[in-house]
Amino acid sequence: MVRSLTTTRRQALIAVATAAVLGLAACSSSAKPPTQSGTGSGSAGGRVGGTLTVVTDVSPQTLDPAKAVQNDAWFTELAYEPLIVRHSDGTLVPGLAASWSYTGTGNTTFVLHLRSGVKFSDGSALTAQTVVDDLKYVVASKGQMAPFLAGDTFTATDPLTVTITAGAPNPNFPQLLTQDYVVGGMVSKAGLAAPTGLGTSTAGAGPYMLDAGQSVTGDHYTYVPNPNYYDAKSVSWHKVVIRVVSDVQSVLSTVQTGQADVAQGDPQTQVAAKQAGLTVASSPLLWSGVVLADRDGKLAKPLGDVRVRQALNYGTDRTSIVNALFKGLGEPTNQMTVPDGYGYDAQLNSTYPYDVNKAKELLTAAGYGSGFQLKIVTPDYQQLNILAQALKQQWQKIGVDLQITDDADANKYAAAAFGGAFPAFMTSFGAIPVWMEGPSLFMPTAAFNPLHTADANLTKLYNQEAVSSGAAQAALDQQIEGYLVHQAWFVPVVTTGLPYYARNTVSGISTSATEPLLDLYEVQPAG
Amino acid sequence: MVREAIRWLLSSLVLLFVVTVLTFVLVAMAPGDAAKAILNARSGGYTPQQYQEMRRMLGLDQSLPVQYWHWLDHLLHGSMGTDLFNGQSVTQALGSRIGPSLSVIVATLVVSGLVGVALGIVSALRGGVLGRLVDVVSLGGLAIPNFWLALVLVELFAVRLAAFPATGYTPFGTDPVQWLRGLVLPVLTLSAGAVAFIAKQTRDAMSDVLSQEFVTMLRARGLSTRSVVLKHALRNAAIPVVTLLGLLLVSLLGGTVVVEDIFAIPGLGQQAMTASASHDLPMIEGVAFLFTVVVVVTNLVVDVSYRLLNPKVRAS
Amino acid sequence: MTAIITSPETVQETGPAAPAPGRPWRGLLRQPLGLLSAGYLLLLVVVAAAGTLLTPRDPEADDLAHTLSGPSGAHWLGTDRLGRDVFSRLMVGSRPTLLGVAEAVLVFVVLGVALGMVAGFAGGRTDRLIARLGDLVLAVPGIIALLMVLAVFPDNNAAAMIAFGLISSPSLLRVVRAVTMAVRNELYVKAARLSGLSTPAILRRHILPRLAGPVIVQVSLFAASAVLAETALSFLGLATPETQGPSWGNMVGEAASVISVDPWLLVPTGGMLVVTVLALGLLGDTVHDLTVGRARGSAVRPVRRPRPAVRTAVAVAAADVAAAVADGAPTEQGAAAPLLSVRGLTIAFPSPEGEVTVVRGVGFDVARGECVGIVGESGCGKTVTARSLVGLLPGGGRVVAGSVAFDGRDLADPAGREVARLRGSRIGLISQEPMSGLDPSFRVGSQLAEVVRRHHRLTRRQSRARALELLALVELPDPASVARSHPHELSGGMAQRVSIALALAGEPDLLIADEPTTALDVTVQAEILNLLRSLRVRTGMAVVLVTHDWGVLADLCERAVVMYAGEVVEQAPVSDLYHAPRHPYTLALLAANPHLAAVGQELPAIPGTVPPPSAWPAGCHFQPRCGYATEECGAGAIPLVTVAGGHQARCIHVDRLEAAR
Repeated sequence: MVRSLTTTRRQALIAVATAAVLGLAACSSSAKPPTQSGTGSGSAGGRVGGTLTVVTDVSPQTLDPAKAVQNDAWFTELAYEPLIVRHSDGTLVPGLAASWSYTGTGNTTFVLHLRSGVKFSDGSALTAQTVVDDLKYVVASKGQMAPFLAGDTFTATDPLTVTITAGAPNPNFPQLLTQDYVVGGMVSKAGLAAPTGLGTSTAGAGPYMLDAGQSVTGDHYTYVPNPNYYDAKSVSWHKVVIRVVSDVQSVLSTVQTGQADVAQGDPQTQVAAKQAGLTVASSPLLWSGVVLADRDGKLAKPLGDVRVRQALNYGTDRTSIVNALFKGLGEPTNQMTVPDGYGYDAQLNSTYPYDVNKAKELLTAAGYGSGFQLKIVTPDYQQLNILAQALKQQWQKIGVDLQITDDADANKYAAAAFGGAFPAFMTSFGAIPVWMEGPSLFMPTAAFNPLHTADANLTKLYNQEAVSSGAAQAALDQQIEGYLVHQAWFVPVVTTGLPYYARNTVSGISTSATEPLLDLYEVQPAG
Repeated sequence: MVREAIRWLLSSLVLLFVVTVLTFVLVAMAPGDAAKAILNARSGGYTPQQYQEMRRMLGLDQSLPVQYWHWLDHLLHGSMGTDLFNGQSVTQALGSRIGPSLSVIVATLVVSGLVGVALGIVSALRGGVLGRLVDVVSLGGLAIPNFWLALVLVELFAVRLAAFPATGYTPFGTDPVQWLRGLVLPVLTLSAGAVAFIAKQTRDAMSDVLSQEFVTMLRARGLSTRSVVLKHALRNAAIPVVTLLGLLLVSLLGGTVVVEDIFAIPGLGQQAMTASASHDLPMIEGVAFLFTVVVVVTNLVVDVSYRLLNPKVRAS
Repeated sequence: MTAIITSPETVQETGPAAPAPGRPWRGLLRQPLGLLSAGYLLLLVVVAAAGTLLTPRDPEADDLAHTLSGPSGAHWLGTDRLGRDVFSRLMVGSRPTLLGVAEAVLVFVVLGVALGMVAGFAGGRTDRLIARLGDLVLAVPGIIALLMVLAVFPDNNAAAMIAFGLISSPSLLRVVRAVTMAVRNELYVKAARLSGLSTPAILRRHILPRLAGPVIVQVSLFAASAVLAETALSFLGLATPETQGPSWGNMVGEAASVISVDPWLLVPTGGMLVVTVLALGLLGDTVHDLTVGRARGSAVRPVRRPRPAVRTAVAVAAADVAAAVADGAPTEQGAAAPLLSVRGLTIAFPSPEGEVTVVRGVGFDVARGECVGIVGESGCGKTVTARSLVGLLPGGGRVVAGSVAFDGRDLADPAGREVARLRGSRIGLISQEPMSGLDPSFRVGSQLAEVVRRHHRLTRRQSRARALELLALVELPDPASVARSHPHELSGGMAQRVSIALALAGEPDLLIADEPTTALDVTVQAEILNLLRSLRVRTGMAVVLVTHDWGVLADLCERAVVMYAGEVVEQAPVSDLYHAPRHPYTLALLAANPHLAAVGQELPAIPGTVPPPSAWPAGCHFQPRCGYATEECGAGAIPLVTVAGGHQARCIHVDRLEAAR
């Protein structure tokens, strides 16, 4: 637990490494009105005026949406209305943009039509130019999502229309511009003019705004209603307080004792939260396992042979590990996505049943019948270090001697893993649209591909995916996933979710396979 | 008196200088730097150009003495720089965190001081089995790891009995009652260990004083046991106890990390941990500076109380 | 992390006064708790050294089907998250933990002892420099230092522990310095230096042995802190990751991370820490008690009941004594009942060998207004007798037999309530060392006013005025300025006057003056004696004067009681004693008195010394030193016989003495 003191905070530092993220359901750009029907009418009126207190173990490094990481989404989404809202059922609904669409084929031109009459909390009006400036600021800030917008041209084609011309095909603009990826939240002109202030204050068009006077950086952040919010009747609380409690056990006791209504939990406390009678919501979000980074055998020759990589997959008893370490928290997996996630194919999960003999055969065939040594680096979060130790014991049976380096300091881990110093590393990776996954996970320039393995087949599939849409895109996603599984670039072990706990004082605690992250502004007073 | 004050001031300045310089050097020696940490945090990776650019932006490309000089220069103008990650002023960040830390520390000193001194006196007076018992009980308090006790206290008093909040800190100005309630469990946790030290020290000092001739004479003059023990003996035994309280304060200053973590108290210990994990030099320097100032002031207070307690020191 | 503090206590107490019983560990064997602790720690070292040789199971072998199983026959302390045997892991995990502690202790000891000895031995500038350096290090916030060191050497347990030893070492340095300074100034060390013994040799032969006790105390306390610090660091994820094998720190950390699923795991892991820290603490305590010695029985501490066996022995002795003194009551009785009447007073003190009787069967009377002297050499029980009259026996001493009647009340009752009521108000006491009899922390006026208020219903203002009157009464020239002074600002004579004023504050009927002039120089002595005489006249109080000075006795007293080795050997009016002593001891004392020796005549000293209570001979206590001794003197208890009106002597040779004159 106290280890989480360092790890959770450091986890925040490398959020991209865990790339914890987002939902799926690609493209429904149907312009449904906000479905916050429960709020405005009747009983809700009595509860409005209360304070919503939520607690999380994540401490945001900055509140600037251009620099913040996905783990910080709670802290930005209340104050920064995104262009497009991802609803808890996974659908995309209008935010600051009333509608949006690709123009033509090939996913290169994307047009947003802004809502009219929207004002920021500082009173300034939303214009297409503000959005253009904001997107340029995102690219210039070189934040987590900047690479997905870099090279694009942003133009205010009329006062309320923004046209994005992509430098390379981008099928995921709608997803990218939601609250989930933080950069969808728009900053006012004044905010952009003084960007250093954005670290500890807000200048957005969201339902709330930060009250710096009632906040202590790193401890608690108090949000009060934004008087200029365009949809005032959907504001459910007079005050929303996000408390940072870095110890995950303490997060649980905080919500258990009624000091908070909602908590972002942790797999370590999920079972206890359920036992304590809290509402627990969790949808699959991450897969955890090994990145066999050295597919060319530069550091560890055996890994250059696909049979060896497959043998490691066969030699992993996923069911036992999941039962021992992730009981009730996750499912065994063979693929680099989560159930119902992008590219998910249920059949792929039978690719590598636990089979020591098969593993040994493959190793013998590859010329490593007598085993070999493999160096691996692991961080301490998400039980990855424990998982590594379990793998070490299991792989001993097929003659593979795993040499584990355990870096509690996530920065150091990141340097080791992404610096190409190890042929393999442990990781947890968030489900993410395949086009966005590519440059993170498997393309030659990806951080998770530190030894820059290039595979012509894979690149070809990826490029096809980038210009596709609809069912064709979904089929390509599965093809790519299947290719990765059979090439055994990874040894995925388990998929887990991010649990949320809530007391019966609130409702609206829902996540779904397509939106595993809880949207705070959907939380409402109970009854 | 004036000479003493000047000497204190000089030695304090030397200490501040040494600590801040050492901190600078150590941070510079540490593998990794803030530029890497920021780039890692924002984008998970970086090119050498990006890294160099970030270093230039943060001023890390300058030589160490120059960096230190800049920091010192700012300090003399009343600024300790800004948090490299979110741009918050270090002074402001520390200002918001010193209240919670001091609340916990001072309350711990008061509680463990009172209980420890009381136990020490009882042990010194009664000796024998009771004295041993005090020894063992207080040693037990010392031996139980902080976090373990904290977790048990939370489970018992916050979750089961709902008597005290499990986490959080309410400023005194906002709500004095909540402030006090919030302090109960963290202070209990920290006091368990501190009591042991104080009780032991008090017992030894009291035993020593009580066996002195003047105590016999005070009794011969008919003074009540209460006056003899609580007024005369205690005052004479106070110096080593006060010394210990000073040391305790210094060690609690950063030693509250675990407790601040479990009880989510936004204190300096946490700030120190976070800052050093992320190589946030201005923040680390700020914390080191503040800690040293508190140490220096504590030493002054201890020194002054020596003078108040012991007329001989006052005279010389 | 509270652990980053080591007690500075011993600075004060192991200072100059530290006695040095040669081998503390020998005494350790007699302390069950200490022995147990030492045994446990030894076992721990063996286990740590043996590694996997002793473990019942492979500490790394996992069993995913039986994770977090709780204690069972197969796994005595249960299994962890991967189904590994907790007991075996705790055994193996002791090694990195103890190694870390050993590293810290090594640095702590080497730096602390070396620098402390150099500082204490060299003194002067070196000492000041080292002391300053120590203060500097002590002032560096420990946690910052450790965080920095760990930032420079990530995950490096050894670096962290060495740094921990370094930043803690000044506390040991101070202790070592104090002890070294004390030893250096002792005569035999000075002699050794003069005789040309080299400095290293002195350090090794004379100083190191004396350091052993205090250093062991400090080290065990520090080691306890180090165990906690080492685990706290691992626990914070800052040292010894689990993948490098188990350590207590990472095991506790693991246990804490599953606390909501399986709280049991915290019991064996946390328990191991608690037990080890306790053992170290107890070991330190035991060694501390053995070397420094717990202040045995303080003045305020109620007298402890002796164990029954001892009580019986004492009772027998007392009965024996009672027989011996039954006839020893003073015979001369004034018409009125005496103010103070002491009968068969027997006092014993606790010792490692049981209670030892130090005063036996003492009896005498003091009439109202009378001054009675108690004379004898040092060690004869005069002071103990005097203190027992006010119920203030030091160090656990108690009255085991006899009675002390004061104005009709029995003061010798064990609870001491009666005498407590009379102290200060009806019986005053002034002591030998005027300075040490005053509380150094309070002003004279305030101390005096407090006593006045205790005995009279007066307002603060009135009591302050009364205090000034009292100071004037004892003939202090400037009462107001004395009242404002602290004791250390007074001269010895002034302090004794203040003591007398304090004793007079309750307007007592009886003043017990225990060698009131011994510590003063001659002219001041005379002044104080004059003061006492004039006060007697003015207040009409009775005085019991303890002295070994015949001159003082002759000056003030009407009657005198001569004590030798715990017994009254003679009592008589002062002039009778001078002119017709009937006990060889009195005779010898008189002969040795410088006031009486004829000019030019060699002063005859009494050969031999007063025997300690444990070596009292049977029969007459004085016989080994007595020129008149015969075989009969050792045959049995010698009774006190009346030789003339109001004159008694405890000697079977009174007639020979008479003849000799």
